[in-house]
Amino acid sequence: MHSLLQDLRHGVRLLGKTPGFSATAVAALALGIGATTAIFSVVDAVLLKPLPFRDPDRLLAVWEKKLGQKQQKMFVASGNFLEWGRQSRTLEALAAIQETHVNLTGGPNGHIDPQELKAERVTAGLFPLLGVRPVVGRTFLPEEDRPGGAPSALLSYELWQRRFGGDPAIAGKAVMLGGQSCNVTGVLPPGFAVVEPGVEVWTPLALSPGDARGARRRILTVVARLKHGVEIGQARAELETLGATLERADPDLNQGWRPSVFTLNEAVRGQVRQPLLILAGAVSLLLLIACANVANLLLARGTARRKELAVRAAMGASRGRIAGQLLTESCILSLAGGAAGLVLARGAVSLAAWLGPQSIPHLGEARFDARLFLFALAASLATGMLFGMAPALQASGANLNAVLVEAGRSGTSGRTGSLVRNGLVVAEVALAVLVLIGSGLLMRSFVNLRLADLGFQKSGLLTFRMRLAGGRNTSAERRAPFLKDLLEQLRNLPGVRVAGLTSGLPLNGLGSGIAFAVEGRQAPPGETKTTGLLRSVSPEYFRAAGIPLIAGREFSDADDTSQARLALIVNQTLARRFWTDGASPLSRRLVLDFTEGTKTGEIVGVVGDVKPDRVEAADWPTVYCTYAQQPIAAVAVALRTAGPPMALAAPVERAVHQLDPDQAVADLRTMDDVVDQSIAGQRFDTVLLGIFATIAFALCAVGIYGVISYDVGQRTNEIGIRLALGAGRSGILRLVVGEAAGLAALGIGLGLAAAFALTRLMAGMLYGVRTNDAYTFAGMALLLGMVALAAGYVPARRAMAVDPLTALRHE
Amino acid sequence: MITLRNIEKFYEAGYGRTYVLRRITAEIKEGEFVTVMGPSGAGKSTLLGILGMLDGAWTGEFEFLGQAVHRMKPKERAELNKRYIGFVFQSYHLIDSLTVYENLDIPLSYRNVKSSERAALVCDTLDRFHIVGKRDLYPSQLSGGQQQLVAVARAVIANPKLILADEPTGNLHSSQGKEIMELFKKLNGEGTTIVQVTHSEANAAYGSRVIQLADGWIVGPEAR
Repeated sequence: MHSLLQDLRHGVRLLGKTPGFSATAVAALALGIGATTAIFSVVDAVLLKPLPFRDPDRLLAVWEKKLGQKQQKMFVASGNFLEWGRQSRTLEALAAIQETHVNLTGGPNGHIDPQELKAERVTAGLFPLLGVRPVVGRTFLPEEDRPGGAPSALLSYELWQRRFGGDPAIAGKAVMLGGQSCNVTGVLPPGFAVVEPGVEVWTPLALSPGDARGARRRILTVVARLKHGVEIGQARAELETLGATLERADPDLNQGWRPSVFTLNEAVRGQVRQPLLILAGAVSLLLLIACANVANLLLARGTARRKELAVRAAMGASRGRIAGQLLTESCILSLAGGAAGLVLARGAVSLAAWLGPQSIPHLGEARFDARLFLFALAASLATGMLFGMAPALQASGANLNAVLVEAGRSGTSGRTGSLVRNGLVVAEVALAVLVLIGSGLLMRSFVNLRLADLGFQKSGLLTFRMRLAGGRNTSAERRAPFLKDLLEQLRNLPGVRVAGLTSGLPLNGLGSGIAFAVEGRQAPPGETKTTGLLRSVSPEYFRAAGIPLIAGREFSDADDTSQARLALIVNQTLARRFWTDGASPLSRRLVLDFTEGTKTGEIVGVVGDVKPDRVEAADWPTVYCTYAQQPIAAVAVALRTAGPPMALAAPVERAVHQLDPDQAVADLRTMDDVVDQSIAGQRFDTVLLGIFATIAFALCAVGIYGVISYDVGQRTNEIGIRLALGAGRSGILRLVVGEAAGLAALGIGLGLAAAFALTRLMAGMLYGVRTNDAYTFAGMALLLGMVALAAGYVPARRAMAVDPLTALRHE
Repeated sequence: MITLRNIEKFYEAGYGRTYVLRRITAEIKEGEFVTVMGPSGAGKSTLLGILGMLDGAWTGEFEFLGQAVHRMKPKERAELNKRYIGFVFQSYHLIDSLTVYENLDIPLSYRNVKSSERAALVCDTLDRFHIVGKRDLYPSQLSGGQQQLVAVARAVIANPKLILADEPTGNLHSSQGKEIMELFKKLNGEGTTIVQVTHSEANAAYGSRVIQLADGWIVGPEAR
């Protein structure tokens, strides 16, 4: 015990006497441990923790896909959902979800500030299927989930707290949703979400099996539970067969359509899995670099202490005693690094949970995980023990005298020690190159995303959404006049240059789709109709959004009435798809499958492509019609402003509420914000990987500097001899810097080879840049090479300044 | 006390062997003050290292206090070193990160002496060597002579039967060196056997006998 205290005291004192070494080692460990723990805590929360449902591994998410198209997650036709439920033998239960929005305009105590809520209409069986119980009240009863059933609602925990003060007696009270009084049946647990995050209210779907028209609308996400003993492969096969059966039964609806089956886990987490795993890999490399850095520092220090350890052995210390002393010192270092890493990790996890993009599911639930911290700490302790104790192996009886005698004379350091240290530096450089290249690729990809042609002019554009449902403008007849009045009011606001509206803002999701065919043309093989996006717009929308007119004309006021002939504008993707020989689509006619029936419209214009969903996603064939022809409830307004768009936020809201005080205004933000939000996930990944790369960079530079600096110290005598024999200062510079360059070159070479093999894993994360992009590879290699040379130059300058006489007396 | 028979040490170098010591045969009685002399490279320090159990790579027969060291395992040799031998180096080899007190305490802690006993022994030794006032200083704060004094104190604190001194005054001024040699003489007078390696005839005069080494061989009257 006394020896331990003695060693602890000595260890702490030694660390204090070498602040440069101690600070570098502790910082390296703190960064490695902290970053690793933080990222793995996030990975654990987002990817690894089981979904908070009963037997989550038995849950599936089912969509539909069109054969021959890439999109695998198209909404399910409600008729098909009902048929699967009737005919499936592998699924214990199915439930359906329709994503929507609804306006909250009243609470139990009357009118409240209107707010648009993200909502889901669900079948009553959803919650028993998931095994979810509400924290207050109950979920829906089957009789509430029928057409004509009592309007009911389940609130999210967050909405309940935020808008209703966490009223414990909320169940049984009424709220105004979509202009209708709904009975609140209960409150769901905190953070509850099925596939879509951020949903605040659930209402019954109330499907009508007899509604033939409704049965053809592709609006549902289906959740299912496998029967006991059934595997997902069996369910997939069965649904595939069912899909073929339904295709034969109703080719008009189901030609080329099949069920698309995922585990619920994959559905929720699939999109973020790859980026998070890449980040986890990168941070693991960072921990390795940090450990290599510390190992090098310990080895160098151990070699410098050979004399001291030999003296201790000569004084009677056994190898075990010396090893114990070194172990104690290494543990002090590792624990100090661990303590700093703990603080870093807690802060980083909180920061990630707070600032991370909402598109990452369950990110807000990320918590500091002690198990992961202990794992990272164990790794650093193992490094400290292994490399800190290496000198103890050298302090053995056979060569003590040699060490003691040599320590009294000048000499150069041992070859084996040099090889190990140089090997560690090469490994550090190689790993750093890997992280740097990954980061570089992501940065280039992100820049490409930022600079991508989105198809419209995003600057100077103010946008907001409204849902015309439940208020005084709910009916189709009221919507168009209300919006015309509103646009007129908005146009007259000072600072507004152009005002337009659309049923689907760019980068806000695919929105409504429509099946269509070109009149007089045969459909492509295997298809009866093509599916594209449908947008209802006001005549000035294209000018407001800055979408270029390629051919023909824009909509006029004459087109924008319900009685007018159906005029259509198509985008370039649609035009190129059907008129490949350069022929003009103008005056051609499209046959469109609207919910209320088939209509034929004439193409009067072609506009540029606009990204509907994600910047990096492919363009969709898109059909535009005037709003009056398709007055759907959910609209977005786009205002081209003369000055800063957000300066008009308050006047815009006032203008809306002047016309309808109960009309909720949602997502009032600039288009720049919309674009930023759409690439928030990529930004998050890029920033994180950039931080890791910077740390790796710094650790690498310190590692190279440390090794070269140490070697210069050890070779002072040799340098003095060379100078005394006639070597020039520049020759010494070349000698030292050459060594740094050699290590760096080897490490960079290995790193490039590893990067070439491994960056293909990032293929799905990159936009506009290849995984083996030569510029990135060369750029990062050059950058690290320059840093290595700089790191070697500093000690080289010291070597150049050696006085031969002093050096030859150097001990 | 010490009997050496045909002690040899060599290094394999290329196609042959480089001998550092050749057929060293000698005896050292208890209480003697023996000086080992010779030119640089004669093998003096190597011989001292073997006597001090710091070097185990040799051949021949070595008996210490009647025990056959040549048949012992390294751990057993280390035990002998701990119990009976103190070493004084030319370069002092004090531990720079420990105070004078702690440098003296170190050999005792490695011999599992109880902490209360150790404190008493260290204080006695500090007093004996008149360095009480230096107890909390670090080696870098002492002169060369003072450092060597502390090194000698460290060598004797565990009451060894044999002190091995490798050029103990090599880095000292003549007056400091004389002080150290007088101290050795005093210790020898108290019964401690001393074997020193030195170039200095003046230092050799303190001893009772000289063993001359040249090119690894014992030469002169001691040669057998």
